[in-house]
Amino acid sequence: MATCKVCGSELPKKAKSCPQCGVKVYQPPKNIRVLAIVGAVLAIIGGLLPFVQNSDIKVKAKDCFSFMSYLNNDKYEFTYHQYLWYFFMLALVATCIIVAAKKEIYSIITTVIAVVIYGITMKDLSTFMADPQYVLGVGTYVVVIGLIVAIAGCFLDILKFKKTIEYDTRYMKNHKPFASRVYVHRWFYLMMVPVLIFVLLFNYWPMLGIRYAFTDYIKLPVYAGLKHFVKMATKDTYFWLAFKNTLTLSIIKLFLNTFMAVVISLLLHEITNIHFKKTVQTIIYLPHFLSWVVVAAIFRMLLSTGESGIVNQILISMNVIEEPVFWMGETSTWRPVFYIINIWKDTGWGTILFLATLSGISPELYEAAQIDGANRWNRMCYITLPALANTIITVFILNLAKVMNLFESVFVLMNDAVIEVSSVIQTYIYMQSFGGGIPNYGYTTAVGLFKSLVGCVLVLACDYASKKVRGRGIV
Amino acid sequence: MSNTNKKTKKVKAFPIVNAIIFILISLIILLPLWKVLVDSLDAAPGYGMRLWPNNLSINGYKLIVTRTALYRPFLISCLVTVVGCVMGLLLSTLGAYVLIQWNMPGRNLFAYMLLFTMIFNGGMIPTYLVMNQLKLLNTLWAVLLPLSINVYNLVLMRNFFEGIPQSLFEAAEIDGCSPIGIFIKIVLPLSKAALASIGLMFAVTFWNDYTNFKLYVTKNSLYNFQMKLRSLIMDSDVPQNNDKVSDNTIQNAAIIVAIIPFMIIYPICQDYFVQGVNVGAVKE
Amino acid sequence: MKKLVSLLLVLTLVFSLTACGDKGNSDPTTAAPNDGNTDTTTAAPEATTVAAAEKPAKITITCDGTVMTEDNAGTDFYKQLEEELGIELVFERPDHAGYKDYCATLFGAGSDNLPDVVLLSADNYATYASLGYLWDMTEAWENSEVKNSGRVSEMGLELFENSKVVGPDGEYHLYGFSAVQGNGCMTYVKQSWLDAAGITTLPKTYAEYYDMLVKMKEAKKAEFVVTANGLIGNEAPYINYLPEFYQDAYPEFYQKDGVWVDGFTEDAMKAAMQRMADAYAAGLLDTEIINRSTKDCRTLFEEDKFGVFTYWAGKWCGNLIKNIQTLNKYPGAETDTIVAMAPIAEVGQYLNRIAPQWCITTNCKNPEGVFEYYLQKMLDGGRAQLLWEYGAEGTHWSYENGTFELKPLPSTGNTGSYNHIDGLLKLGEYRSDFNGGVDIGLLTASTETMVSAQEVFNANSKMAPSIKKTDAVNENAATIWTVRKSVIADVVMGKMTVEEGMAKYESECGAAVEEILASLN
Repeated sequence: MATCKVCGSELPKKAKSCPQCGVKVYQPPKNIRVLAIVGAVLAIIGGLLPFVQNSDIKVKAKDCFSFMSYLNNDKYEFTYHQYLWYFFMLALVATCIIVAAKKEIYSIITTVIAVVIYGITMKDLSTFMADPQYVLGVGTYVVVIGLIVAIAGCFLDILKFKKTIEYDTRYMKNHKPFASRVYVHRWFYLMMVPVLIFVLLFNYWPMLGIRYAFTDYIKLPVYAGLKHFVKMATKDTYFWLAFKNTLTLSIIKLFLNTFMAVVISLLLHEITNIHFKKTVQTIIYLPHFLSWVVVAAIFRMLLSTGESGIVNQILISMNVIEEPVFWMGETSTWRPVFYIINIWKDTGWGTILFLATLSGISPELYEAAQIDGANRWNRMCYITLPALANTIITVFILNLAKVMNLFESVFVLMNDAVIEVSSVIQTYIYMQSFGGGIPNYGYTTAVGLFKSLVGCVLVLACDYASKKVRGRGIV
Repeated sequence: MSNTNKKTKKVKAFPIVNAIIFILISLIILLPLWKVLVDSLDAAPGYGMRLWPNNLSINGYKLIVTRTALYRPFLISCLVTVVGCVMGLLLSTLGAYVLIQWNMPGRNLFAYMLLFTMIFNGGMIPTYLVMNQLKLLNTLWAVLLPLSINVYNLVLMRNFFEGIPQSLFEAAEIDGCSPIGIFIKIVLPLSKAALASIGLMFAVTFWNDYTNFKLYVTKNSLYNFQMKLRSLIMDSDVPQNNDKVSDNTIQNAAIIVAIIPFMIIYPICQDYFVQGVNVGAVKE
Repeated sequence: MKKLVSLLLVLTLVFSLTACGDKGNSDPTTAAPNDGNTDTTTAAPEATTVAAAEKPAKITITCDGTVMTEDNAGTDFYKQLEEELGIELVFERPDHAGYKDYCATLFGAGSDNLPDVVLLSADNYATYASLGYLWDMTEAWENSEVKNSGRVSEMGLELFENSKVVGPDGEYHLYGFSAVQGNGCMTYVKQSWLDAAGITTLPKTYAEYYDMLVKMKEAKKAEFVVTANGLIGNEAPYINYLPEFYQDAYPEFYQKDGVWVDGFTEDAMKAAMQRMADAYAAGLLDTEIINRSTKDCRTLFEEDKFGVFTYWAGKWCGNLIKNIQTLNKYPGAETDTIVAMAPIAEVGQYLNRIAPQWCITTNCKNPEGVFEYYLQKMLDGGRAQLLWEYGAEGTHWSYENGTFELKPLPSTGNTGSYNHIDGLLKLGEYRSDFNGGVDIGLLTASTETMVSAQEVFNANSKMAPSIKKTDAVNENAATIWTVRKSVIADVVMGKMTVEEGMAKYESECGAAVEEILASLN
């Protein structure tokens, strides 16, 4: 983000001018583009929410209709709406992209298209409203507000961006108009194409399935409005328990694993004998290749209270404990055991990236430091760690995105006695899918969506923090 | 070993302590693994821990080697790993190279588009439907294609690319090198450590893949080794066979066999970690 | 070096293209034409069936690993079955361990992609039947040759009756076909432990049973005498691994005298939890029982760590003995054996679960034909049934001069015992004109012990309570089971009393239970 528009070098925070080329740094007007995007996103969300709801509070969350559901409600037949819905959403996504690409003037077009499509459906809305049972739903309001905000945002952006800054022409070698910058990068666009195709096909196309979060999907998706989210928020105590556990278990696990991996990498880096180093590295990364089922079986045996439980026997002989402890069956000991097993399994694997980074540090730096009389500790603090910091932060934030996906390790290690401290969202979903009832795919998608949102918040927050602290994010 | 190069000066304590720490760590790590190894060499593995097999026999390995039904899955695993690794590295390096073009219009959009896919996903059934519509079901592409675009690895790759000194790019540009030329002649050769470590991560993903195989591949002739291993471990309904080798032994032997390729590959990768040091040298 | 690498790359690419394109070689014997060669005997009863359905040319089938796999030379079996039936069969077989996930995805993806025939576990069977994915075969079964042939035992007919589940219309229909009974678990006691404790007659009541456990623990200085895969099972019939402790308790919604009740809140369940808690405190039940996998249990049993084990009836009785004797992990193991125990008086009868069912999906164009020419042939009492039971002739078995022999497979060198149909569990006998109506391989593939254990079980078993699913059940079942399991674990491990446990259940699930009961009744 903080790069000089002219020479492309990185800028210190809040710099008035670029230290390298001296050009005045242009501070773009802030928070305006955001307005248009917020509006479009609001309208997208509104497009998922119910437009018409039953006024009866009891069935309100269930008996409702939106864009999507016109198709499969049994009262009225509006077959063309589902396609309109896709176009509506598409237009809004296009708005976001165009705004993000700073071509606000065109975003007006797509936004207006969305408004027109919405207008068409409003006509049919009146059919519903004729029934006194129904009132306007949240979705209607959200869409209207979103569209107004989006249009207002677009206009504001156009007005604001009219003024351009003046560059010192001496430094204009790199700064060219948009079209020519595109031309300069033409080969990069070509290189981007394969990645884009893969992402669009295998990530974005299936993402259309997110809309099922607003449906009851048992055999066919039937629009159900906010039913699942209401259930999550109010009815299901185990959901919140699972949510809390997921955050606790995986964030503590993430901290411990990253910390251990860093420490081990630093220590490994200090080993001078190359064969010893290689052997140790290979040994500590091996556990990663055992499947969790096998790992669980081995640790159940090692932690057993019976004669095979080596851990208990050692602790008893050392007089730490008197009676064998059922480590995996007590709510107080299950979590520490879980963390330790995770550290055992994944620390070695985690060191790979750090070691690869460390290998990139120029030996000259160490030599210079040694001449300056820096001891081992100082070298580590002033050379090694800073070199590693970037990788640590990137890996950490990337792993945050996966925080909510904690599943297999917990699934194989948990048991009935420790559900309270061990049940996580993924095991909860598993129970919902295979635990007795007919799986409602809509509900599991809704939980998944919630999960993604939490992950999104975590990642964006950390990315933001990283930008503030280091001046750049992770992507 | 750690005091080989300490000749006249006082013996430093740190390397020795460090070596001892790592010997201990290795022992702790090895203890549970030892259980698998011992069980794979024991004709009748026990529940508990043993230091040495009670009745040593290599029949478990013999059976695996002679079981022809495991050959093809093993080859499939190797094939998927090699092809997938190449495809994955290709996509990651391309994407990462684009991501370090800070001046490129649309670069941020591209970046966030990628990041977004890490957090949101469509779920199992929509993905299955897409695979079905692309006519990928029951082909190895159903595993190769979706797994070879991995944003996590792509971002890490970008992180490594960033470490390449800007001056190198500029010099090459002045020499009239095209972006693709720079990519091939400068970026890739300078990122051997990155290619090795991320290639390893790809290789492991492909080698260990079970989820995609489980859902998209129903044809026995296309099963990979993990699928077979899984059914060996999970399938509890296999009665004791006739040749006096416990199923436990075979399972443990199969687990070891599945690890062996990576015990060989990893030390080779480590050589590249060392070669990565040359970044500074090229600069001069 | 570079040349070598590029050569390798090209090679892998070519290789991958050929391997990835490996699509259509699964049907080498494209629809073996039905020239009515070998099956002159089957032609006769066919003529007697009422509705003459059209014979399908090709059937797609999704099944799990219980049908002979390709690794075990299953291809030969398919070929012979195709020849026998005169239909082209396409088997889709996802990984056995991931079959459940695969089915969930397959059905979730909509009915257009479904195969003609799919093998479903009892639970999935009820689910998908109620959603209307499966073809109602009640009528076809009623008029079928098999049902009216007299070869199916009383118990078999009862099982078919019992596997009727609620369809989309809310009525009970038959949506699945199974050639075997679901089987259940029975209790086995180790002979050496009986001898050590000086017990000569097997216990008849719970008091005697408990007394036996105590004596065994003392005599063998054992850490525990009974263990299982958890205190309660994950799927119906839930209580089958610890029948002596649960007795008449059934901690799930079930129909009692025509009314649905929550078995968990009944007094029987409270008593059951108390029994388990007592046994746990006395060290008779394994301390780590909640943490044991089935495989752990079997290994520990082979190592003589405990003496009383409830496990699958029939075949497994023989397998357990064989494992103990061949693995020989403790002194005297070679001569040790286990005894199948009849249920104690309080238990009355062991539970027989519903077997995995072969179902015809609504996507099938010619369901009548598939039923008549494929499904019911599994019990045709002739060659098709024989193939389903033992695999391909010449590959898996041979029958010459009145001696049946199982052949070692070229791939593993082992002899298989059964194909999809376990001879001990099969529901239909062979036709009298086919080898004299005798199951020619039964005593080769299974031992006397297995046969007698199965007989004990069959004589002492009843059907597991039926399952009904409503919206309220679907919405709350997962949460209720979570609470139930945690309450059982806490009570048995002594962390709370039975009353406290029940109070917890009441406060956390009371409303949901009421909602479910209202919807069921």
